[in-house]
Amino acid sequence: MNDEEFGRLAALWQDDADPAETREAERLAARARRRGRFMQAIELAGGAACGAGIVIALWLRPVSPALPVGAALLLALGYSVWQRHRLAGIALLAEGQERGRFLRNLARARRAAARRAWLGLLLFLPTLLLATLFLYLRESGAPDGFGTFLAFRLTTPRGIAVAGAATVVLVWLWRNARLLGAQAGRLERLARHYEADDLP
Amino acid sequence: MGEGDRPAKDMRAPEGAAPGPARRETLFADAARRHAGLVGRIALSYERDEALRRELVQDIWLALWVALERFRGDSSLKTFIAAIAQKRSISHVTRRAREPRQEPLDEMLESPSPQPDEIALGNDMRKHLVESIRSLPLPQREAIVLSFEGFSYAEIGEVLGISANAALLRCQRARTALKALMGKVD
Repeated sequence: MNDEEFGRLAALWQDDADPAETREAERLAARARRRGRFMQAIELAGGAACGAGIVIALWLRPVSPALPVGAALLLALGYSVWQRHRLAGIALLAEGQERGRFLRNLARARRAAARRAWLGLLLFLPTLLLATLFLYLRESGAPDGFGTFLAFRLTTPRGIAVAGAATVVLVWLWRNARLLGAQAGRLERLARHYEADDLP
Repeated sequence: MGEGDRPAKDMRAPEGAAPGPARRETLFADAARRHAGLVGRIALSYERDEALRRELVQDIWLALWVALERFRGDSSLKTFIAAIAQKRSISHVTRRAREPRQEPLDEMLESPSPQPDEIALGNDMRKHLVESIRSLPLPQREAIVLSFEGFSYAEIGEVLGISANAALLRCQRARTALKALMGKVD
């Protein structure tokens, strides 16, 4: 492609002077700014509300040992709000490395998160069962009759509610693990595009 | 050319100006006024679906609003915007479950029926150009879009985190690939 052809295509690429599209772009920018301000205000308001709660609690019951703890809490809260605000901007600017390497690192992180999610999924039911057994042993002192107890518990409203909640958590964990796995695979494929492009 | 964000008119942040919320508002207003087209076109090269593209554009603007507070003027505002837009677009692509569409170009576009109206012809050509760009592998797509936007190889390298020479090489490959794709209708 010679320079003339390139110039023609560049002009064609930039030729989007539709007034409606320009207005839409400006509208989206204005909306994003409102959203940004709102999110920032919410974050500050949340911090202020927590701070006010601590001050009110101290004022209502000014117990002397609680005062330094309350002051430390207020300091930690203020620091956290300020740092979160600062880091939000930095996080967007931090990625300065070559895109392929960035994608490979991201893929590794996502793959690890997927493994964690699968592990969580695999361990969820056995852990729930062990926790129930632990509670049963605390009450009865022996494992005898645990199966009957479990079967009975599953017919009670509380047992049904717990089983329902556990199912919801299981489905969520399964979906999350699959999503993370898919994202990792996708990132690996994209990183390979960059590797292929870097070959001489 | 549809707007006032061409390289000659680009703006650099005042030297030594401290980053902060007040300056962010000024920079954001300037970015929205002068570089809305750049943001829209970068999003266009990544997302075909109109509703998802609007989401992506808004996501880019939101990221810009947050990041502009820390803009120190080390690069031009336009380069800064392009870098943020490219990063958000890549994140958008990686979040999506499906592969980017790299399907064969539309049959209709391979043999366009003659149009007496020059605008319609221009629209068809642009549509074909956009589709061809979207068909390019991601590294080449990033490079050619920035090249079309008038960035120098040094600036493209800065945005993509590679050297100017690597940017030049990538742009050349992208040009060749794009020519082959565009050649289908020439």
